[in-house]
Amino acid sequence: MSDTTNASTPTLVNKALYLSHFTPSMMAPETLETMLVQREPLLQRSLDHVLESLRTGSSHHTLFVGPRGIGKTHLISLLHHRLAQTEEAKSKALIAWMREEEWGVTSFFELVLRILRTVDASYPELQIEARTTPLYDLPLKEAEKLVESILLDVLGSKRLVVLLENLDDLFDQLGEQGQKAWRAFIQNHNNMVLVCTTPALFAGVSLQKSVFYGFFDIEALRKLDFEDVVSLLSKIAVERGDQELAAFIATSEGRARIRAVHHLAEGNPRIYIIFAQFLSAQALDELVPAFMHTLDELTPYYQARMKELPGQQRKIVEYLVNYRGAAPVKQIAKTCFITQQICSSQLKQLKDKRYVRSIEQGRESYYELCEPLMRLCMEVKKQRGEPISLFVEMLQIWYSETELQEWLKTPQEQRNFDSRHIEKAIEGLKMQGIEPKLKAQIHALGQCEGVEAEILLYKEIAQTRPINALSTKVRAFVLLTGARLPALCTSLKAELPQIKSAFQSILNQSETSLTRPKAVGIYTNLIVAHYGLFNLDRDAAQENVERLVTLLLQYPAHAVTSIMICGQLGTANEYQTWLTALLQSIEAHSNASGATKVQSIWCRMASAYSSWNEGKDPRSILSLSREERNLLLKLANDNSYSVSASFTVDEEK
Amino acid sequence: MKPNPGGMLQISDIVGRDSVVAYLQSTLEQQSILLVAERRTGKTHVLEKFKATAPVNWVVIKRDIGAIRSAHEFVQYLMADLYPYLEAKTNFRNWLQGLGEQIGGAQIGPVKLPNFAAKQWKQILSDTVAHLHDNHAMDRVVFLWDELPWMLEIIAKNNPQEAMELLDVLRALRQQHASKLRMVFTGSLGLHHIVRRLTALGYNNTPVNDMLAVEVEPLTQTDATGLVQRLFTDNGLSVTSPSVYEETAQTLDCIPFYIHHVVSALLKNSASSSQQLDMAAVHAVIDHGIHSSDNPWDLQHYEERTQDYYQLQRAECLALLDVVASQIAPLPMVDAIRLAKAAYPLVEQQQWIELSRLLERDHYFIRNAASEVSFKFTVVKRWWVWHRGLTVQHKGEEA
Repeated sequence: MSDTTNASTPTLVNKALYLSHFTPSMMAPETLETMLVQREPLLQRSLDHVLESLRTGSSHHTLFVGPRGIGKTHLISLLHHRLAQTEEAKSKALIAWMREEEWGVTSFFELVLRILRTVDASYPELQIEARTTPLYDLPLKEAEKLVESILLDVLGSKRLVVLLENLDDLFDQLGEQGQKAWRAFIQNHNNMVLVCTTPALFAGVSLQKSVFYGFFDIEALRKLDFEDVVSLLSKIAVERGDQELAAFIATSEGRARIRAVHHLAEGNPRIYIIFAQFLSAQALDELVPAFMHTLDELTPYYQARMKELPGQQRKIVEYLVNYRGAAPVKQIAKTCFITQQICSSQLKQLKDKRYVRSIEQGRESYYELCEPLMRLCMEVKKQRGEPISLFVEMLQIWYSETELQEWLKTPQEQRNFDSRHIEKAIEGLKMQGIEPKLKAQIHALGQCEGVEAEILLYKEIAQTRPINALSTKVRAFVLLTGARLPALCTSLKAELPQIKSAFQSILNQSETSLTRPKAVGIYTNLIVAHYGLFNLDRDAAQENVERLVTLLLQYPAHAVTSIMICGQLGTANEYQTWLTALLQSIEAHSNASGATKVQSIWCRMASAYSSWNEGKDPRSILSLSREERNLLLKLANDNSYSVSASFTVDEEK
Repeated sequence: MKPNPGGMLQISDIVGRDSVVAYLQSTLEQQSILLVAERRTGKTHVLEKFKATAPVNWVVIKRDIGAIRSAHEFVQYLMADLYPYLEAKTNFRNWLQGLGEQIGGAQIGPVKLPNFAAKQWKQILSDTVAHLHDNHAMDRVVFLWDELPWMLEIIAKNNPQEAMELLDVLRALRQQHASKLRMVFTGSLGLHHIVRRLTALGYNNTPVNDMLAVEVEPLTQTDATGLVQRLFTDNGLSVTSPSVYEETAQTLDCIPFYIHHVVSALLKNSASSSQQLDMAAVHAVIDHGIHSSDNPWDLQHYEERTQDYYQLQRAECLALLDVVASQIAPLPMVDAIRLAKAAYPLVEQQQWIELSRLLERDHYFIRNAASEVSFKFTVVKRWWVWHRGLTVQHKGEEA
């Protein structure tokens, strides 16, 4: 599949295929350098450690940890490339780059043999093969000692840098005796520097009773965040010679699509490389088979992992494959028809075996799959020839219904791909739910840290145009919440008609659904929205204030609570201006007793809350009514009472 | 100096071990040593430093023997290690030639040994060591045998008798060649555990009662503070106050392994290089090491090994550990026993006293002159309190 011979003058398809068969250890170093994102500091640090070991008498051993597809081989390949070019490596070291799998190594003796073979291939001038040939005529015990002597002789005064993948598998094969022999060799001769990888931390390096406990400096590879992904896909586009695509990725629409893909790919670079195949419409009909081929290569590995599991554990993993996200133990147990105790015990074993990881949230434990690639491959297996849902979602995110319909017009005999994926994607788009791009943007809003990031995201939303009616409506509402930020007002004024219409919709909806238990949530949404409208167009805000006030007066204590929650909005001056205007409106649009009631509740609750916050004395709020007291207590203790909590989208509504 | 958690440092970067090295040297003038410490305390670095600074007329031979599978193989390595110092001596060469044919003999490094498989390993070992006296230039020959308990464990699995005999022969050699020969045993596994297992199989001797047990302690506060400062400054980390160095060292019990780990973790955070670090930033890293469910420092090991170490008394052991961990200050041993006894009233007082002694031996507790006990390592204590959900009480308060 890969076409390295054409790498210098590739066609678009050839280049895409070359990337799609992503085998870093066989790729040109320049390509690997180009495609490195996020990890330059890590790579440089690791290189520095090896060079320090070569320059001094120290030995710094590194272990990269991360699930399949996270970029470990890419990192090792680049490390090898950079290291090999240094003067230290040329004069003071031999490098043994053990590529991918070392099957059949069941003893330290066999490991040394493999190392010698690897070194022989890279340094033929050392004539190692001639030295190792006599080993095969010796009894094993003699051969074991002689092979170490040969390695020492080959090295002379140089040090051996061993780059080795899947250390966990190797340790399993070596067993304790082999590990002890290896460790003894390293300690006795101090001439070996190890840089290894593993999909997850394992007992052989992390338990105090293990031979190699504490031996390695552990470097955990992080998932790619959104900006890393944008950078990676841009680089892939440039690598493919597709400047148009690279420019598109930089646009708001491009970023919005990538954001939607981001949540599917869970930060795993290998999945992005696969998705990158779909970024160019021209390449699609050639790349679908390539995508399937990539999955086909990975699937047997994950199928084998599943077969290793006992029945109950397999059931749990299958559930998590389908669930897509972190699920609480209770839910897993219920769905798998096992007790919670058994489920917890099985999950602990799965965690030790590195199938799942746990996330603690308060007292509850959530579990999710360690490896997103596993989900992808298991879906392929499970769906047995049916369209792969992840693939279909990707198509829905990246292409419009029109573009997908165009492909279907390709004559049957010219098609290289299974058109059911396209048909399914079109079907999904027609269902008119909230578009994945918008969903991803709203999700990202809820996770934003800092006003700057929020502003950038709102601008992205403003610049991307949904297609279906529901998404258009939801987008307008989201922009309404953004209008509270002064920096956005100018750019959002162009959307004023839609935003006004969105506010009307919210008012209508609130009038029908308002109840006492839901009042604070509904009022908070309304106030945030009205404040946004106020910033954009005071007249528009004024037009709707009577209806707003009518709603707020139904549960005045709840309204006051919502106003206090929204004290997080804007700067003091802007908020004060709006609040003053709102309170004046309340006075103007209600009868005397209604206005007085809101004013007095406001004074009472705000004063009590302020005293309580300053002195942390709960007695400050004892003078309030029970309802007012409970509202303030919830305000102090409950995260659901916050402005960001109002950023949720309920598709049913 | 770059942080290098778990790796091998160059000699000049081994900080604060001069006094223990000097103590080793002065002790080895008189007797052999059993070097004891928890894992990753720095035993190997102490041995390296000792070897590098030993007197010129001492021959110091260091070897990790943890993978050796038989006494015969052990003798092969010993012969290979002594060979460079004896090959010039006619007696030795003649003796070696008389041992057996070269064919079938092991090659260890550059040394090709004869095949003496047919001979008794005990005799070969004794004869080899006897040849030490051929070389008068060697005042002392010191064998530093790292991971000796692992070797004995492997040998004992297949042939417990051989393990017992090897221990006895080594002891006899120390006695016979007391003027010249010294041994230092050390390892990740305590030798007493191996001897206990052999005892259960009928071994009645005390094979190391002629050796002085020397414990490798954490660094002194001064040395640990210096190490922290050096690692920070050499790697471009600045602090809000010099007290950060001292407090970091103290919080990590002056253990170099944890110090290197924490500095390494700080360097991995890009924010560390651009702003001054205070103790809050350092504590965040330390807290992760102690409290993370990933268990990066494997502090879980301290709880798990009580199963193996204390077996039928494990429950009482855990009760005693919980009691002491729950106190912010050292607790009189009698009070600790009294509180633990509340849960296990039928256990005799003497058993509690013995249990407390074992917990000291195994580095859980430390006892001061006033017979008050506390956790030896605050890192372990903090993990223990967190993991077992204990509440720390001030002196005088009781649950």
